[in-house]
Amino acid sequence: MPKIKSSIIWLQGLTCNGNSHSFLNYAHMERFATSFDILYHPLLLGDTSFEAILQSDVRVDFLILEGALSRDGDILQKFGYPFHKILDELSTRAKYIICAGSCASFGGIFRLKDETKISGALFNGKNKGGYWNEKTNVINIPGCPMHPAWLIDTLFLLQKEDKISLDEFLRPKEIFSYFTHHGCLRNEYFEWKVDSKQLGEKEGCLFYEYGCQGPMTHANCNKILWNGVGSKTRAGSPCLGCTEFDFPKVGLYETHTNMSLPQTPFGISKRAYYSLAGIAKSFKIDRLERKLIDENN
Amino acid sequence: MKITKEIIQRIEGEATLELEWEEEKIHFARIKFFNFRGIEDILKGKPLHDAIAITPRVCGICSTAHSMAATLAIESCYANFGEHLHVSQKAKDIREIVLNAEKIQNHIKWYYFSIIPELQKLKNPKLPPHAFKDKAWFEAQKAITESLKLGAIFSGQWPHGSFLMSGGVTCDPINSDIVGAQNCLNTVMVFCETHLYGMEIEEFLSFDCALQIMANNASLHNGVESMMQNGFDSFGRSYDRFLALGESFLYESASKCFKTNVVMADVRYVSESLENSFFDKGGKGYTYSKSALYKKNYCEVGPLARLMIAKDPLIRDMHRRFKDSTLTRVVARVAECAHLLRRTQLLLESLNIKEPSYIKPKSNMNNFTCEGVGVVEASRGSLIHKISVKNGLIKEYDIITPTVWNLGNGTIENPSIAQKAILGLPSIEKADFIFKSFDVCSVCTTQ
Amino acid sequence: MDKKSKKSEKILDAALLLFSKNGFYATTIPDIAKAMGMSVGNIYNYFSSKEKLAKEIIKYSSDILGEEIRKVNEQKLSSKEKIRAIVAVYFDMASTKPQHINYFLRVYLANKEVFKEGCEGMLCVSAFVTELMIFFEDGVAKGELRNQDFFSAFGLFMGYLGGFVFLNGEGVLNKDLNDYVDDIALNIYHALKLQ
Repeated sequence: MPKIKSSIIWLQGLTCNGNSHSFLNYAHMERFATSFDILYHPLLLGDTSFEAILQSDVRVDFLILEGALSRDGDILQKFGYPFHKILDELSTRAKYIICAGSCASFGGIFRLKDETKISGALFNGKNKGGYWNEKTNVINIPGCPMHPAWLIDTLFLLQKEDKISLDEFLRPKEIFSYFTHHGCLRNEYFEWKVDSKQLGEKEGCLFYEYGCQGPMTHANCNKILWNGVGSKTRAGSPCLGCTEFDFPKVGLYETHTNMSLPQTPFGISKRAYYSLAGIAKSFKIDRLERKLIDENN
Repeated sequence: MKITKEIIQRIEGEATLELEWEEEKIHFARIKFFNFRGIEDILKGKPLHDAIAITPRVCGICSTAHSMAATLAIESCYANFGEHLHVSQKAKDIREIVLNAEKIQNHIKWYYFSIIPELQKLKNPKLPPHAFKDKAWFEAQKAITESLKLGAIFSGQWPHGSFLMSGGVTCDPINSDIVGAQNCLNTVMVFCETHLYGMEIEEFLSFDCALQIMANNASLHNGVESMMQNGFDSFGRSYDRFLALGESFLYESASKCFKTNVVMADVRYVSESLENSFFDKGGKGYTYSKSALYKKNYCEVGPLARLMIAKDPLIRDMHRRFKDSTLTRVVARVAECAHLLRRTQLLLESLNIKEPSYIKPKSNMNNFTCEGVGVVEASRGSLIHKISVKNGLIKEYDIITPTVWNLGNGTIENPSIAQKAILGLPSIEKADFIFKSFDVCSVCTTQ
Repeated sequence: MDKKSKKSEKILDAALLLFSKNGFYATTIPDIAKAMGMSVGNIYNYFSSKEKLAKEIIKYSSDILGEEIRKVNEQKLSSKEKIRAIVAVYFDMASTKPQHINYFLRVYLANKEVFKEGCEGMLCVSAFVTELMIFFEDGVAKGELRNQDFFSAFGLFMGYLGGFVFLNGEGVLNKDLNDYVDDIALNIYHALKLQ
C-alpha cells in the first residue's frame, strides 16, 4: 500500500526567503519526501502551477506561511492579486496553518516598517491580534530563520497525532521550552560571571557586555545545533533572541544595563539572580581566567 | 503592437513582466516588482553595528554577503573617522571561506534547482519536475548542505550566520574545526567532480577551449547541449559590458571590462537611479526596484563579469565564440564554482589559527559622525552598502544589490542589461530562462 | 528557629556589642563567653574561631539591614520616596541599634585582613547589596533614576550615609540623626535622578 502523504502549500508574504532556504537544508530530505507532498513552493518548479491551485478547490493538510503579512495590496501582492485575497482563500482550505519563521509568527524585522499594516498571523510583536484576531489551527515556528528540524519535526508530529502541546505564543513546547543558553559551550563562564574580555576568543561569557540573549530566548539551538555543527554562541557571537516576539531589539551587540545590571534570565527573579551573581563575582577562579587551551603549560 | 503581462516566478520571489511585442518578437520589456519591505528605512536610527545583523535579512540566500558588506562599510566608517582597523589575515581568510561556502551553495543550487529543471521544462513541458523526487536532486541538495556546513563551522549557522564584527571575526577555531571543514569541502568537490563536471576540478580548471567541456555526460555538458538546442548560444546577449567592484582572488582590483578590454574601476563612479520606480517624484513609477549605473552606464555584474575581468582562458574562449550570450553566462557561473572550490581548499590548508580573530577598535563609536562604503562580490555580482552615521546611530543606509545592477528600469533608447538581453526573443519561455540565467533575486531588488 | 540557631544569634548579638564598642583585637572569646554566661569551650561549639565569628556577624548585620531595605523595595513607592525610606531605615538602625553600623565601620572596614578569606569581594554583605541593586535597577527601568555605573551610584548613596553616621558617632552634628533624613534623602535623590 503506498503511503498516504500529507500535502503542503508554501505561501510567502514579506520575506527574505530565509526560512525556505533553511528548510532546503533539512538533513533527511529523502525521508521527508516519502511522507510529504509539496503541492507548491515558490522557489521550486513543481507539478502544479499556482494558478491551478487557486482555481481549483483542492484542500491541503499544511499551509505554510513565510514572511510578514499585510492586508495592504500596495506593498504585498502575488500573481497580480492583493495578497490578502490569496491568503483568505487558501486559509479556508488548510487543516493547519504553520507560520515558518518570526516574521509570520510575530511580524519580525519587517513589521518595524509600519506596525499598523504589517504583522504576524496572530501576533503583532507581543500583542495578540495580527493578520487575524483569532484562529484555532495556527502554529508558530519562530526563528530568523527557523531551524529546518523545528518545522519538520512539528509536521511529523502533527501527521501522527492531532494535538500538539503549544506555549502561550503557540510555539511547540518540545522545541521552545529549551533556552539557547542550554548547551552553550561558555556555560561555565556564565556560572562564574567571567565576562568575555573581547570578541574572537573562546573564553568568557557574552551575556554581560555583548548582548547575548541566550538565557532569555526560547530555542534549542545549542541542543540540536545548526547545519549539524554550530550555533551563534559556538561561533563566538551573541544570541540575538530571534525566536521571541520582540526580535529585533535595539542594540543587538551590546548588553543593555540599568545601573550596570542586565536583564535577568527568563523566569529567574532579580533577587535570586543578583544574589548569586554577586557571590560568584566575588571569587576569581584562576582556571577560568586563563586560556581554555593553554599552549604554555 | 501587442502588450502582454507575464509573471516570472521562482526568482527568489516574483516579478511582473510587461512586454511590448512587434512582429512576434519582444520589442521592449518593463520589469515590475510590487512587494516592498523598506529595510533601508528600518535601519535608520539604529545603532551602527546592528546593521551587521539586520542587513542579512535583505536576502536569505546571500545573507553572508550582506553581513560582510555591512561590516566592511562599518570598517570604512572607522577609517574615515581616523582609525584604520587592522583585520588579521586569519580573519580575512575565515571571512572569505564562509563567503565562498555560501557562493558555492548558490551556484550549485541555481544550476540544479533552477537551470536544469527549467531547461527540461523547455524541452518537454509535460515532464514532471524532479524536486523532491529524483536521486540527482537529492544528491545536489546534500552537496548544498555540506557546503553550508563548511561555512557554519565558522559562522555558527546558515542562513543568517553570525560571525562578523568590525575588526575581525568572532569565531576562534581550533585545528579539528579545520579538519571538519576540509571534510565537508571534500564531499562537495566529489559531488561536483562526479556529477557537475564529470572530471577532476584541476583538470577542469586547466581548460582554455570551449570544446573541452563538451567531452562527457555530466550535468554541465548536458546543460550546454540543451542551451545550444534552444538557441541560447546567441540569445541573451547584452552590452558586453562588465563590472566587478568587490575584491576577489580572481583578479587584481576593482575593474570594468568592455568586451575584452579591462580597466580599473572605482566605487565612487556608481550612481543610483530612482527613475521609473515608485520612489521617483515624477509619478511615472511602475516598480519598487531601482537602477544602478557606473559612469551613467548599465553594466553587468556576476560570475561572467568576474571571469571576463580575470581573463579566464576558458571563459574568454566561450566569449570569443558566443559573446555574452546566455550560454556563456551560465557556463561562467558553473566554472566559477570550480575556482571557488579550489580557492577554499587552499585557504583551509593555509589558515593560521594562531593569529588573533579580532582586534578591538579603540574609538568610541558613540561619537561617530561619518560615512563609509563596503563592497563585496556576492554570488550574483557586486554588492554595495553605503552608510551615513550620526552620533553612533545610522542616519542613512543605501544598498545596491547585484540584481539591481543586472535588471534596471531602462528605456527603449537605453535599455538595462536584462532588458537588452531579452530584446528580439520570440517567446516568453525563452525570456523567462534568460532571467533565470542572471539568477534574478527579487528580494534583493526590492529591499 | 531551633534552639541552636537561637543560641547562635544571641552569641552574635553579644559579640557584636563588644566588638563594636572595643574593637576586634581588644575583644576576646573569654570576654564574649563571660557576657553570655557560657564556658569558652561551649562558645567554640558554635563558632570555631574569633575570625569565623567576625565574618558571621557581618553577614548577620547585612541580613538585618537587607531585610529592612527589602521591605522598602516591595512597597509601591516612587524612587524618591524609596530613597527617603531607605535613609530613614539606615538612620533609625544607627540610632536604635548603633552596634551594627559601628561594627561595619570600626571592624569590617578597618580590619580587612580578618575578612580576607571567606568574605571575598562583597560576599558577606550580599543580602544588603542585592537589595540596593534591585532598588537601582528598578529606578532606572522606571525612568526615574539616571542610568550609570552601579558603583558610582552605590558609592554616592552608601558613602554618604556611612560617612554621616560616622560624624554622628563623633558627636559633631547639630541635630538628632533622624532629623537629617529629609535633607539627606533630597540630596541623594537630586544627585541620582534622571534629569
